[in-house]
Order: sequence, then structure tokens, then C-alpha cells
Amino acid sequence: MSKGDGEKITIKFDRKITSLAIIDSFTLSGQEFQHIDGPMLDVNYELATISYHPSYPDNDHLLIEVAPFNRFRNVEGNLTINYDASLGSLMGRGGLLESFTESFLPLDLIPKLNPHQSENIVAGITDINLTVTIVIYTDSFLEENIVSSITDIDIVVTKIGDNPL
Amino acid sequence: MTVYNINTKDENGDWDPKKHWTKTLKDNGGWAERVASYWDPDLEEWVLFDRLETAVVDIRTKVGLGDIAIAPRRYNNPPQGRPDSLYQIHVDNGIVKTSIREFPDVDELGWVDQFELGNGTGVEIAFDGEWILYESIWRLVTDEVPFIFWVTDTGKLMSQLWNDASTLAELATGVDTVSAIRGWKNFDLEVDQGMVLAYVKTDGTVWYRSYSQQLDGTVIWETERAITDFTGTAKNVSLALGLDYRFIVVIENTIGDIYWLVTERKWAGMAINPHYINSAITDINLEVLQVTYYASYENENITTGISDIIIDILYASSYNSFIDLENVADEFDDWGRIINIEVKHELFSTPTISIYDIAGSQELPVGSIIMTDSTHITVEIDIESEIGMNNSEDVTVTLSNTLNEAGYSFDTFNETFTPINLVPVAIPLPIVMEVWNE
Repeated sequence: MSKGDGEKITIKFDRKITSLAIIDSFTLSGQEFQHIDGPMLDVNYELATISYHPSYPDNDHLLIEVAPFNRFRNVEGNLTINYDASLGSLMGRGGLLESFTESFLPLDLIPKLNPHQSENIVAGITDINLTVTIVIYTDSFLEENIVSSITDIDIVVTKIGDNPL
Repeated sequence: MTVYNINTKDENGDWDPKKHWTKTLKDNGGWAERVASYWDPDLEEWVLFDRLETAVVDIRTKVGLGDIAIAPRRYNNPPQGRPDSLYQIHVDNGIVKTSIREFPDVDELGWVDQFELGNGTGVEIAFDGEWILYESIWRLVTDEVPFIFWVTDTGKLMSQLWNDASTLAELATGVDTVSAIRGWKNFDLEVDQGMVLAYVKTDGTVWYRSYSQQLDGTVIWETERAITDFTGTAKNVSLALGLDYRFIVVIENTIGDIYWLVTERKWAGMAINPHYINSAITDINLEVLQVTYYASYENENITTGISDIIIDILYASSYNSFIDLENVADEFDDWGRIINIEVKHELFSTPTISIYDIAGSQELPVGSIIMTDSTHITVEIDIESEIGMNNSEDVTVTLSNTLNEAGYSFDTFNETFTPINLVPVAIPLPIVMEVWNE
């Protein structure tokens, strides 16, 4: 998993964390384009796990991983990590940590193409009128047929809802 | 009850307890015992005791009485004590019956009948128990109740732990006569000959089974085995223990010849005496130097003695422990930095020491370790820890990687103590320094 996948966040503290908090006490939020050139939407990224960062044995770094299908690789601008002390028990030797909110600019993300679900346009044929003209039969040696066909059909697609055409 | 006075009075017709024992033979319904009394001049009182008559004794008299077997129980008394009761099984007119008699029979109750076991022809009884070494003699301290064995009128050899019907077992078929004895067993080494049951089958062959402790500690009846060393036609069998730890099978054939089958010695670990290591002083050299005498006003004596004897009795155990753990003040009167340690056995190398703060869930960095002597160590918490133990409640000190007097490693050992005179220091809460994605 590379840095560009938007999966992991590291929080560095100035001193050791002695007790971890549950992941539900953290939230991660940012903004993403709803679609290309579309409006900006607020996005909460679901978090999966929290642990001591294995690369820092002094336990003063925490590693947070987001849920696999809810990464922040398309975030625009800053990410905001929030810790709610009423929900967690993050602790240092001096006691329980207070709530905090930190924003940072994630780097080296690789945006994911077509981030939304695929859309399909379906058109059907309706209101077809067929006019049959009176035909006068005269003696004939050959069988006669009347053939009609549909031509010059116009389909009008109308935008409904927020999604672009 | 008939009482026979065997030894009575002095020449004047008076009792003379200081010179004569008084022995009375009591005939109690077929059971005879000798009751003896004598005057103990130290205690100035009569002392009574009785013992089994070692001559011919009538145990039970009845028309139609068949096979009979008796086992003494030494259960309540110490290993060197006498039996406390006698257990009996017998065949009475074809019915197997049991009875118990107290020993000594102070209340003169005689044999008290217990329970019956149905039709049978042969009986045997033996106590399992524990061999206890007392004054260099192995003595069997029995279980509370014995195993009883009887041959049914259909030739089945049955076993039961006295009246416990749940232990009833059929051990063999086609059996004629039976004998049992408790073999040697070493309880320290768990080597067991078992309680051996030998029996003659109706075809004259001799077989045995052993109720003995297995390697896994369970006690089971092992499968029956034939005594093939005896090739004749047996009529009776009896078992005995040799005091040299042999096992003896006595077999009588049909014409009355007696065969003794004596096993190899099965020491069972019981004949091993305690081992002692004796050390003595040898090769002492005494050198007398030439002394020149000069005129003197006082007598002079030359005295020499044995000195500088070194006996290398080295502590080689891997066990060690703490005698004392205490924190002391450093030069700044900070009690949170230095721990003085005293261990039980001398250390012959500087140990590795770790200090764990239980409340803080962290190892405290160890700085200097100074051995003031072989049992006293001063350990200082490294300056890297700004507050040392001051915020700790209990601290665990662990010693490892150190040698005993014989040069072997001590096992790692640790102990937790509560430091005193600590001054807790307020510790700032962690604050976020930086956040990044990776």
C-alpha cells in the first residue's frame, strides 16, 4: 500500500502515549469534488484501526488506518483529524488527553479515476401513431401488400436530479 | 471364657509383681490369645499388653468350615506399631463369609461377622498399602480395608475391595486355589511389584496377576501370566517375600512335593541406602624451621597450627533471590533515582538489571550498576529519565545474566517493592506535534 492510496495517517506526539483510545473516538474529514468541475462535498472517512506506530518504538507516534473502501485519495485540500476525549481514553503518563483537532495537507496522493458509480442513460419508444389510409382494391393478378415503417424518430433526454448528463 | 493362670505367685502365696510376669491364657470361643501384665517399677503401675499366640491358635471352629484366610491391618498405628485389627474371609458350608476382629480384642467381641459373598470354594485376603522405612526396616502400613479374593463354585476368581461392590472384578476362570501378598514397592522411585495374586487352575497350571502401579501412575490389574518355570501339576500355591527383595512362589504338586520358585532380586529401589559425601583433610605438610636460641629471661615457645586450609565448597545452584530492595536518596535528596539491592547468594559477575515501573507501564532506563560487594549492588536510573521513579507506585527489579560461585548462571529472578519518600512530579499531557499521511 503506497502513500498515494490515502490509507494511513500518522500522528506524532511530543511524548509517550501510554494507553490507546478506541478508534471511534477519532474522526477524519475532508472535502472532495462531487464530480469533475462539480461542487465540493464534505466527506467523513471511515476509520478502521488505531495502533502504536511500529516504526517508532517509543510509543509517541500513533498510526491510524482508514477503511479500505473509504480512502482519502481524492481529497481536495486539508484533511482534519479530530479526537473526542469524551469517547476515548487516550492517555499519557500525565493523564488523559484532552480533545484535539489537527488539519494537515496530505501529500503525494494518487487520485482515483471515475470515483462515482457508473451511470446509464436508457431511452424507450413511446406514443407511436400509425395512420392507415383507405385503400381501394381493384382486380389484379398479383397479391398486394401494405408495408409501413418507423422513420424520423426524435429522442429527447431531460436532466432530472443533480447528476450531470 | 476360660482363664488359665500360667504364672502366679511367689513362695509365700502372694503376688510378686516385681519378680514375676503374670500371664493369662484366655480361651474365648476358639480364639486364644496371651494377655501379659507386669509391674513397671519406674511408673509404679501395672502395664498390660497382649499379643498373638505364636503357637497353635484356633481361629474358627465349625462343622463344614472350608478355606480361611486372615490379614492383619496396620492402619491407625504408626509403622512400627502393632496391627489394630484382623480381617478374615472364610468358606462356611460352601458360603463365602467375612468377619473382623479388633486387635487387641479389648472388648472381647471376638470375630464379628460382616457380609457374605455367595457360593465359593477358596478364599484369600491381602492388604494393599505403603512401605514405610522405619529404623532401617521396611514396614507395611496398610490401607483401611483389604482386597478379598474368592473362587466361586463355578471356578471364577473374583476380587473386591472388602465390601465395595463397585470394585468387584472377575480376574480369572477355571481356578482352584489362590494366594495373594503385597509385594515390594518403592514409593519414592515409584517402582512397584504390586499386590500379587497367584492361583492354580483346574488343569494344574499356576498363573498370577499383579495389581500394580503403571508408568503413568495408574494402578491396574495387569493381565494374567503363566508361571511356566513350574512344569508339573500344581495343587496349591503360596506366596512370600524375601527380605533380600526376592519374590517367592511356593508350589505344591499333586503328590505333595514342594517347589520353591525364587525370583531374581527386584530391588525396587528399596535397598538403596542414603548416600553421603565425606570430606577430610589430607596431605598436611608441617615445616619446622631451624630456630636459634639466645639467652633469654623468659621461656620461649614455638607453636604451630594448621592454617590456610581452603575447602572449595562452592555454591552451584542456579537459584538466587533478593534479601533487600530499597530506594535511597541521591546527592540532591532525590529518592527516585537510586536503588540498593542485597541478594541472598554471592554474585560473581555484574548482572543485567532492569527496572519496571508498573503504574507507568514502562521500563525505566538503567544507568550505572555498581557492585559494592558480591551481594550488594547499587543501581541508578539513567538521567534520560527526568523524574526517575518519582511517579511510580510499585517497581519491579529483575536480575539476570550473572554467575554463581561455581561459575554457572543464576536463573533470572525479580521482585517488586514500593519505593519510599518519592516526590511525584506533574507530567505534561502529550500534545500533537505533527500529522501526516503515509
